[in-house]
Amino acid sequence: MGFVIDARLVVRRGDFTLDLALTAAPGEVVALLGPNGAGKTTALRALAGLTPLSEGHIRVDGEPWHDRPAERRPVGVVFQDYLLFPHLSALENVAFGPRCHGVRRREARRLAAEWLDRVGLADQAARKPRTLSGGQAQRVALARALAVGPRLLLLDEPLSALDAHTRPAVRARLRRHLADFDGAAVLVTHDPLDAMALADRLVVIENGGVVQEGTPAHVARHPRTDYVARLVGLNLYRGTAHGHSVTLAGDAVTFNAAESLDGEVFLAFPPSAVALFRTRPDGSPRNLWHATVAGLEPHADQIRVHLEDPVHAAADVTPAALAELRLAEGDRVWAAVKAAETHAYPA
Amino acid sequence: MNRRAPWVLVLPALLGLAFLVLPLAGLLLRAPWSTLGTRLARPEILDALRLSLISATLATLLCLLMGVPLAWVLGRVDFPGRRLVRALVTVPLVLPPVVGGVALLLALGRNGLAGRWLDRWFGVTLPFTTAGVVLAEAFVALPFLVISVEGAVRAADLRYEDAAATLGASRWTTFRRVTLPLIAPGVGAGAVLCWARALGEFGATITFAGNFPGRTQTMPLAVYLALENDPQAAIVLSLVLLAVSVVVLAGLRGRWVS
Amino acid sequence: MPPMPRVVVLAAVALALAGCGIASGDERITLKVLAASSLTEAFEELGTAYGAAEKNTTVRFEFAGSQELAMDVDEREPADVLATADRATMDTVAGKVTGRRAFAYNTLTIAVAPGNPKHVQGLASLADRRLRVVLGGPIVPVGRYAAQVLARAAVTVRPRSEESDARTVLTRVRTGEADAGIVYVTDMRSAGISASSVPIPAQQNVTATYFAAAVRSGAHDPAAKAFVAWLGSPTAKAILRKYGFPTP
Repeated sequence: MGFVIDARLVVRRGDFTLDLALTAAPGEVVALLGPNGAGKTTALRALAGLTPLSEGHIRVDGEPWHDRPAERRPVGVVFQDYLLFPHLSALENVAFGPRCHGVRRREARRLAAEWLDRVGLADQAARKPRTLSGGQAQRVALARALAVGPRLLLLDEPLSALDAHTRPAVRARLRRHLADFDGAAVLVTHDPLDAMALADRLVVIENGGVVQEGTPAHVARHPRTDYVARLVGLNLYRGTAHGHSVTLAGDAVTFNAAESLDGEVFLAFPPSAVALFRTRPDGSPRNLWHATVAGLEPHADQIRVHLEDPVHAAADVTPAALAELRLAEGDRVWAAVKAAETHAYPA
Repeated sequence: MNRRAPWVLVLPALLGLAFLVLPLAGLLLRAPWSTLGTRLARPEILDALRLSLISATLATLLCLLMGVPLAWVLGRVDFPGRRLVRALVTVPLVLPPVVGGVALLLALGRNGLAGRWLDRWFGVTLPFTTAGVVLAEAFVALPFLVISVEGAVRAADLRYEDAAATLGASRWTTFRRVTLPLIAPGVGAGAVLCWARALGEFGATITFAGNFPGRTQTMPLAVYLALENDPQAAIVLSLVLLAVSVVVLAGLRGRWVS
Repeated sequence: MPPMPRVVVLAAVALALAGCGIASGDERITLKVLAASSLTEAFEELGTAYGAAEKNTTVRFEFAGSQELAMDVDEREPADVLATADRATMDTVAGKVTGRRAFAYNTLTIAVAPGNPKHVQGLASLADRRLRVVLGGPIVPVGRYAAQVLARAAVTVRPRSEESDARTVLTRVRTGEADAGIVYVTDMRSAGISASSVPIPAQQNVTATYFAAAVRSGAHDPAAKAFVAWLGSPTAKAILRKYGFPTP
C-alpha cells in the first residue's frame, strides 16, 4: 500500500525543535492539531518547501522532495488568510499556478474558470479579493491551490479567518471538496471541531512532537494529554487500576470505571456526567468525593462548575439545578459520577 | 472634523504654507503678463521645455531600471555592509549637486575613471550631450526612488511571495507578477518624486553636461542664464516650469502618493 | 575642484560680506569689489597692495562672469566697486555706478590641451566638427568677444557648450572635456602647464576693455572712488601688467 506522503520532519530553530513523522494515504485527510506554538505551521511550511528541513526526509509518491525548492513541489497550499494576490481578480489568482507551470494564457484561464465553477464561484471570477466575503475568498484559495493539480494539499487554519456564523457552511463545503480530492491532504488547525469534522486521522502535536494519533472518534474518547482532554471536553486523570477500581495519583479519590484493567491507566469522564449535591448522597460510596467550588461560568445552555481540592474537575449543571444548590465560589459540595460514563484505558 | 486644531500646530502650519507660497506669489506678481504670449512662443523656451521633459522622463526610467532592483536588494537581502550601502545611496541627497557634477566628470568625463574607456573603446563621451544631462539628473534623483521603493519592499507582506512559490512561480516570476504589483504604489510615488527632482536639477547638469540650447540647456539652466541677462524671461521660464510640474504632480499624486 | 558655477559659493560669501560691510563703526573699512573672473589673480595681488597702502581699508573680492556681477549690483547684494570685462555689461548698470574708467585691456587666445595634441592651427581649425570646442555664452563678455573674433575670421563654430564665464571655458579644456576654447590671454597664466594656447593673429583679435566703477548705493562711496582711481596708479598698472593686462 503506497502512501502519498511519507515524511520525517525535523526543524530546529533556537530552543525549539520540531520532530514529526507523518504519512498520508491517497484520499486521506490528516489533521495536525495542537496549541499555538506547537509547530503545526512549521511542519506545513516544511512540507511546502518554505522552511528548510534540519534533518529528515519528505517522499511524495516515492519521490524525494526534501531537496526541491517550493516552486518545484507539486503541492497546493491554502494559507491562513488565504493570501490571494490583491492586485489580481479571482480568475487570475486561480490561473496564476497553471501559468507558472507553462500553461498558455487562454488555457489557464479556461482551467481557472472551471475551478471557480467547481467551488461555486463562476459568477465572481472578475472580482478582486478584497471585495469577496471570507467564505468566498477561502473557496478561491482552495481553487487556486487545486488548479495546479497537486498530489499534496496543505491547509493552514482554513476556517480560522471566518466568523462563527459562516463557519459551519464553509466547513461542510470544504469537507465535500476534500472528499473529491484524490491526493493526500494535511490540515493544520487548533480547533478540534474543524479537525474532527474534516479529518480522517488526527495527529496531535505539542512542543514540536506527536503526543497522540488516531481517528477522530478514538482521540475524542481517549485523550492522553490535558490539552487533548480540554479540546474534546473531558475530565482526564491518571491512576492505577485494579479491575474496575481506579485510584487516582495521590490516592485522592477512587473511581469505579466501566472497563476492567490492571496497572497504569487514563481515566476520563465528561462534565455532563458529574452530579453535584449539597449533602452527602446515599448509596454507592464509589465515584463520590467532597470538593470546593473554584468558579462558575456559562457553557452553552448549561453552567460549568469548576471544582478543585482534592482534584480538578469540570461539572455541567442546568441553571435550575444551580439555583436549587445555591452554589457560590468557595462552597463545599459533593460530586458524583456514574460508573457507566467513566472510561479507563491503558496509559 | 469637529475638534478645533490646536493653535500651536496651526500657527507654524500657516507659517510653513506662507513660506512656500510667498516666493511663488512673487513669481506670479512679477511676471510680465502683457508680453507673456510672445515670450512663450520663443523657440528657445520650447526647446528648453522639451529637453527638460524628455531628459527628466528618461532619467526617471533609468532610475527605475537601476533603483527598483537596488531597493529590493537593500530591503530583502541581508549582506554585510548593508548599512554602509544604504548610506551611500543617500549621498547624492546631501552632496551639493555641483559637487555631484564634478564627481560625475571624474568618473564619466572624457578623462574620467570609466569615461576614458568609454571614449577609447566605444567613442562615447557623455559631457555636453543629452545623455549626460540624463545621467546627471538620474544621479541626483536616484535616492528619492530608492528610499521610497525600499520602504515599500520592507512593508510588503513576504507571505505573498511564499504563496507564489507554492504555485510554481520562479523567483523572477514572483518578483514580476507578485512583488512588483504589491510595491507599485511605492514605486509610483518614488518615480514621481524622482521625476520632480530631475526636472528641477541644475548644479550637476551644468557642471557635467555643460550648457547648450537644445542639447543640454534644460529649463533650470535657461532660467539661471536668463536671470543674468533678462530677468523677465527668467520669470516666464520659471512660470512654465512651475505650471508643468504642478499639472504633472497634481495628476500623479492623487494616483500614486498617499 | 574646478571653479564651475558659483551660485553656492556666492551665497556663502555674500552672507559673510554682509556681516563685514556693516561693521563700519570703527575706522576700518571693508570694500566689496565684484570683479570679472579673468581678473582673479591680478586683483588678489592688487587687493593686498592696496591694503598695504591704505592701512584702514581691506578689499574683498567676489569673482564671477561679468554679466552675473552686473546682476548682483542690480538685484542681490550691495557692493562698492564693480569691475567688468567689457563696456556693454557696465552699460547695463549705467545708472547705478559712478566714475567709471577703463583700467586694463586684454586679448583672446585659443586654449588647448598641453602640447596641442589635436594640432589646432588657428581659428579655422575650430570649424572642424570633430573638435570639441567650448565658448562663453552669448551674454558673457568672453563669449561676445569670441563671437566677434570668429566673425572676423569668417569661421563658423558649433560649440559643445556655452559656459557662464571665461574661467569655466578654460576649466573645460584643462580637464580634457573640451579640446579647445576661446579665452583671455591672461587666463592662460593661471592654467600653468595644464593647458597650452594657440595665438589668434592681431588682425583677427579684438581688444577687451576692462572697466571699473564705484557703485552708487555702496556704503563707502569715497573709499570706493579712491580705489577706482588708484587702479590708474603706477603701482596698480605694474601689477596688472605683471599678469599680462596691457593698461591705458
